[in-house]
Amino acid sequence: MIAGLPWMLAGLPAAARAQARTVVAALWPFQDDDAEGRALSAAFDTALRARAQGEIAIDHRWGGADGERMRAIAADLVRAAPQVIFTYLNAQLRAVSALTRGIPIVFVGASDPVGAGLVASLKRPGGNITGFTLYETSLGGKWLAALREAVPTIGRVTLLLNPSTEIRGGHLYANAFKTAAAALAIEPAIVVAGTAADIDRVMADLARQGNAGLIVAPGTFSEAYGDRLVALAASGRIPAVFAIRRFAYRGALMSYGPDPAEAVRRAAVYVDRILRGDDPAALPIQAPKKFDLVVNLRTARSQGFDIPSALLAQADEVVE
Amino acid sequence: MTSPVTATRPPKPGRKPFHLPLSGKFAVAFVGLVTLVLLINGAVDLTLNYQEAKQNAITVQREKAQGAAERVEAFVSEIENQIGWTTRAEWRRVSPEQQRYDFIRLMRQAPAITEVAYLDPSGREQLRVSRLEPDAIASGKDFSTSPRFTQALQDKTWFGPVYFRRGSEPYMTVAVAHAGRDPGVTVAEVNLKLIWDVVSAIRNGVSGYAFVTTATGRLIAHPDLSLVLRDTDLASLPEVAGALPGTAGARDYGIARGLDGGYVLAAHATVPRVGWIVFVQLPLWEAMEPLIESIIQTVALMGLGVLLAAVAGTFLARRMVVPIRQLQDGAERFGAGDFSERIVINTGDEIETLAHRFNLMAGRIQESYETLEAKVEERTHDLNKSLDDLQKTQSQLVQSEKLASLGQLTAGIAHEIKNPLNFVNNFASLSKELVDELAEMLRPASLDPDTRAEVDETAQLLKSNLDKVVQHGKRADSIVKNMLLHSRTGSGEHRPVDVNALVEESLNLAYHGARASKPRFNVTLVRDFDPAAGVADIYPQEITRVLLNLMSNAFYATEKKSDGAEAGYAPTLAVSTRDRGDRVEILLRDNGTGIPDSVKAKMFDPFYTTKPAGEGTGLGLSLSHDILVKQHGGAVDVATEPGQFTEFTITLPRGGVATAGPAPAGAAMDEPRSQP
Repeated sequence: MIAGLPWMLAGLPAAARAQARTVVAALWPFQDDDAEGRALSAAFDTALRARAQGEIAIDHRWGGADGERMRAIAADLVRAAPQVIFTYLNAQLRAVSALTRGIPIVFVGASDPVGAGLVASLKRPGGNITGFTLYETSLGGKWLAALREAVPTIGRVTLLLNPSTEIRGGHLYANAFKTAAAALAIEPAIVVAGTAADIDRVMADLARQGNAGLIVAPGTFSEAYGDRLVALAASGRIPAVFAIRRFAYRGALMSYGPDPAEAVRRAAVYVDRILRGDDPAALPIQAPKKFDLVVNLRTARSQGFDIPSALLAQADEVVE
Repeated sequence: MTSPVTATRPPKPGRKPFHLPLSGKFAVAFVGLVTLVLLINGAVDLTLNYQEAKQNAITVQREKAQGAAERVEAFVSEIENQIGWTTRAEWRRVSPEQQRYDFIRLMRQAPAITEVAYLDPSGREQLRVSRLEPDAIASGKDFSTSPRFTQALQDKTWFGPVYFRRGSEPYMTVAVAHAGRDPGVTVAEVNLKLIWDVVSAIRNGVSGYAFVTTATGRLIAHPDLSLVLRDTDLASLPEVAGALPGTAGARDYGIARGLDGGYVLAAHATVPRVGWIVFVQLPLWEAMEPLIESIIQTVALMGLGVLLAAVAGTFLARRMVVPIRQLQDGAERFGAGDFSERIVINTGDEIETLAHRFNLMAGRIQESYETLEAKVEERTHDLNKSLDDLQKTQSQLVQSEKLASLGQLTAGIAHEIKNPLNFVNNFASLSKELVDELAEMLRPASLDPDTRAEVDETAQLLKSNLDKVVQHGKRADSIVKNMLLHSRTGSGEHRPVDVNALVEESLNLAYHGARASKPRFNVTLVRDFDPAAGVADIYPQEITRVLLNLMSNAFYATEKKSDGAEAGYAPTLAVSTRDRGDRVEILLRDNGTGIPDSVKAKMFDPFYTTKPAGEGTGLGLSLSHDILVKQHGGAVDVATEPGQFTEFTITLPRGGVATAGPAPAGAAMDEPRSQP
C-alpha cells in the first residue's frame, strides 16, 4: 500500500491533466507523408498554440484521396468526440458534418457552403459549421481567361473537376467556365476525374489535340493527383492552370488561387475562439482576401509558350 | 467668580466617568490630526488626480480618434489616388490593351480593389477587370444614369454607399471622373475588409481598439473581422447612437457600455469624405488605470502615514507621559509628606522646569514644617504663660472684687453697728459713773453692815461688769473703726514721695512702737536701700500703714519664733528697696515662723487671722492688699518657707497712682457718734 502511494499521487495529477487537455481533431485530404499536409498542419498547430492557453492536444488525421477510408476516419474522429473538428476541403467537411450536428466544425476550402446547404448564410452560419472558403465559383472563368491570355492560340480547354465539387446536379466552376469559354470562343470540355485512369485518358486526349489547355479545379483528387497531372501536362506540352497554387511551383504553367496556409492559420484562430466559448453559429464564414497568380516561366519556356507582359504584370509570383 | 463652583463640583458617585489616560489622548490627538491631514490631502489629491486622469484620458482618446479617422481617410484617399492615375485626360485615347494593363497595375497597387471598370463619356462600360472574373471588354453596359457615373462627373469623385457582398463582406464603390473635356469615369469596387489592416494596426492602450461604422451605424471595420462579416448594426449601441449624425450628442467622447458589455471610454471622429465614423474606445478601467494607481498609491501612503503617526504618536505619548508620571509620583510623595526624595527629570523642557518648581516647593514646605514646629512650641509656651497670667489676674480680680464687696459690706455694717455701739459704750461709762454715784448715795444711808457689804460688793461687781462692757465695747469700736478704715482707703493726698525716706520712717515708727509696747522686744534691722529708688507718686499715709502693718506682722512672727525657739536665734528684719525703672520695689524679709501654705492662700482675705482673739482684727493684710493693688496699681507678692522666712515684695509704679483713690464715705464716719 505504501509502495502504491506514490503511484496514486503521481497518477492523480496526470489524470487531471488528461481531463484538462483540449482536444482538437483535424481531418486532412493528404497522405500522412505529404509535404503540403505537413506544412499546412504545422501552420495550423503554430497558429493555434500561439493563441491558445494551456496545452492543446491536436489530433491530425490523414484521410488521403480515398473516399471510403476518409469517411471511416471521419466516423472514428467523431466518435472520439473532440471539442472542435477542423476539416480541409469540401469532401472532408461533408464527411464530418454528416456525422455530427453538435461538435463545432471549422473548415477550410469548402466552396459555396450555402449552396451546398451546410450553413444558413455566410454572415451567420447558424449551425455547428463555420470556416473559410478558398475558391469562388466565378474562378472557373478567371482560370480560362488566364489560360487564354497565356496561350492566345488555344482552341480547346478541358476543365478537370473533382467528384467532391459536385453540387445540385451540376459542378462548381462549370457554369462560369462555360460562360467564359463562350465569350472567348473556346471549345470547353468538362471532365470529372475520380481515378488515375481518368487522368491518363484526359491527358492523352489533350496531348493529341495540340492547341488544347487544361484547367485543374481544386479538390481532394486534385490535391492527390496534382503532381501526376503536372507531369503529364509537361510531357504532353499541355498548358495547365491549377487552382492550387503549389502546383505552379511544381511545374504547372500557372496557378490562380488563394494561399491555403493563410486560410488555415485563420481557421486556427476560429478554433481557438470556439474553444474559448464562441458560438460557431455566429462566426461568419470568410472568403480569402486575395488570389495570387503564379506563373512558372520555366515551364512556359520548356513548353514553348511566350507569356505576354500583360499577364506577367498580373502575376503575383513568377517561378523562374 | 462663579465658574469654580462647577469646576470644583465633585464627580457624581456611582457613575465612574471614562478616563482616557494622557498618553491615549495625546496619541489619539496626534494620530487623529495626522489622519485628518492625510485624508484631506488624499481626497484633494484624488479629486485632482481624477479630474486630471479623466481629462487626460479624454484628450488622449480624442487624439486617438482623430488619428484613427485620419488613417481611415488616408486609406480611402490612397485608393482614390491610385485610381487617379487611370483618370488622366488622354487616358481614354490609349489602346484598350494599355487601359487593361493600367487597370491590372492599379489592382496590383491597391489590393483592396477587387474590380475596376472604365465607363466611357456616355456612361457605357468599356472595360472591366476583376480578380474573380474574366475581363469584360466593351460590354456596353449602360451606367449613364447610375450615380457612380453622374455623381462622379459632378463631384469628380464619388464614394458609393457601403454594401455587403453576399450579405457579408463590406464593399464600396469608388468612382473617379477623368480629367479633361467630356470625361469618362473609372469605377472601382473596394473590399473594405482591408480596412482591417488599418484598424487593427491602431493601437489604443492594451485592450482598447478602434472601429468604423457607416453614418447609419453599420459596422465596416473592427479588429474582430467576424463582427464586420456578421453585418453588425451598431446604431443601437449607446456610444454609436450618440455619434450618428442628426443626434443631439454634441460631445465627441463619452462613457458608455461597449460592445462586450463593459464600460468604455469612447471617442469618435468622422471621416467627412465618406461620412464614416471612426470610434476609438478604451475600457474604462484601463483609461482610469493611472487614477487607480494613484488611488492605490495615495491609500498606501495614507496607510503608511497613519501607521507611522500611530507609532510616532504612541512613542511620543509614552515619552511625554513618563516624566509626567514621575512628576505625579513625586507630587504624591510630597502630598503624603515624604520629602526624603526629589523628583529627577532631565527632559530639558517645561516638565523639567515644572519638576524643578515642585522640588523647590517641596523644599519650602519642608522648611516651613520645621520652623512651624518650633513656632508652635514657642506659641504654646507663650499661650501657657498667658493662660497662667490670665488665671492669676483672674484670681486677683476675683479676690479684689470679693474684697471690694466685703469692704462695702463691712462699711455698711460698721456704720450700722457703730451707733448702737456708741450707745453701749457711752451708756456703760455713764452706768459706771452712776454706780459710783449710787455708792456715794448709799454711803450716808444707814444700812446694816451685811447689807452694806452686799451692796458694795454688788456695786463693785456691777462696776467691774460695766468696765468689761466698756473694755469690750472699746474693742468692738476699734474693730468697727478698722473696718471703716478698710472701706475708706485712698484717704489723704497722693504726692511724689522719696521711697527710701518713707520706708526708713515707717521702720523707725514700727520698731519704736514695738519696743514701747514690749520692752523686751529685740530685733536686728538690716537696711539695704537702693539709692536709685528715688521718688514715687503715692499716698504716703496709706503706704506707711501698709509698711507698718507688714513690719508689725514681721515683728510678731520673729517674736513668736524666738518665744519657742532655741537659743542663738537672732530675729532679723531685712528691708530693702530696688529701682525697677518705672517701678520701685520694696522688700521686707524676716526670718520668723513663715507662713504655711494653708494660710498663704487665705491670708489676704478680710477677717482672716492667725493671731489669738483680741490681738488682730484680720483686716491688716486685706487692707494692705487693697491699698497696694487697687489704690496704687502695684503688686504684692509673698515668698515664704514655713519656719524659715517670709518675704513680702511690694512693687509700686512710679508714675502716679492707678486710681484717684475711691474714697468710700468714710470721712463722715471717722468719729463714732458718742451721742445716742
